[in-house]
Amino acid sequence: MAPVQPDRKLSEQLAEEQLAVEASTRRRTALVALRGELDLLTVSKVAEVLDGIEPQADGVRHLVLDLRGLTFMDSAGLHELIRQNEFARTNRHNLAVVRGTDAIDRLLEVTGVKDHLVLVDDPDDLAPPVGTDRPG
Amino acid sequence: MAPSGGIRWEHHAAADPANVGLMRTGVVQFAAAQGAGAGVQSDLALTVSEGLTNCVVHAFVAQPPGTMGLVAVALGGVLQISIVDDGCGMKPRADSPGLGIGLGLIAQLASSLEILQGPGGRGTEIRLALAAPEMRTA
Repeated sequence: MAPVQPDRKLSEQLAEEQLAVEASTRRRTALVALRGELDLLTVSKVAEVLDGIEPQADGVRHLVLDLRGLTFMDSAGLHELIRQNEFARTNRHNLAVVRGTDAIDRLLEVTGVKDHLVLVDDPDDLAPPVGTDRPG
Repeated sequence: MAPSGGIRWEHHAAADPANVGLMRTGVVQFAAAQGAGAGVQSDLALTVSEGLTNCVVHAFVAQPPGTMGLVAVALGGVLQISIVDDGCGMKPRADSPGLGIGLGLIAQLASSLEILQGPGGRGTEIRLALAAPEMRTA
């Protein structure tokens, strides 16, 4: 007998419970903070929000992805980080990632993904601070 | 064949993304109850998540999703984990949502790793062990 597949509404509800994505924009900087677990189920929520920001020359130029609220991330999350980093490079906007827990930092380290990202401990470490314009 | 002996936890569910987190949470709670430390819990969460994600993404290509199972046995300071599915074996897919590094990550974190044909000759079994010396089990 085929296994019972979770109903789509239930899946969406689980995804909502598992990960919260909060986005705010001030002037030319968008801050996206993640809270919860980032995996195969929830990664599309992050992609949807980040893709929806659409950085451009006369709009948002700086994107800050805050991982401090994440309690778990696996390679599905890594894949999204790399995808967004590649898009930032080709689209010529800035992407900074705020470090998460030690476990998440270790994941970035052992996979070598850390070497490709701009990582900061706090959004305020960015110069100029989040929410202000950067020349150029 | 799933690990035997020791203190056992297992769960079987549809190979669906929604069940990856539920099973991950369940097995980590089991390990915590056996006294596994934070580091082991973290490695367990990641290895299990990668293994179950492989089941969802690669085991049922071009066929309806089947079942995946997770068995954990705490025995002698080791967590023995078995992740099984009844699919077609892990097949590559061009639209994979991952990086293709799931098994590599498991290999880095586990003290041993075997990839076998699943029970009854169907699907795949990933068998791995994590050292958890702080566990209370004899």
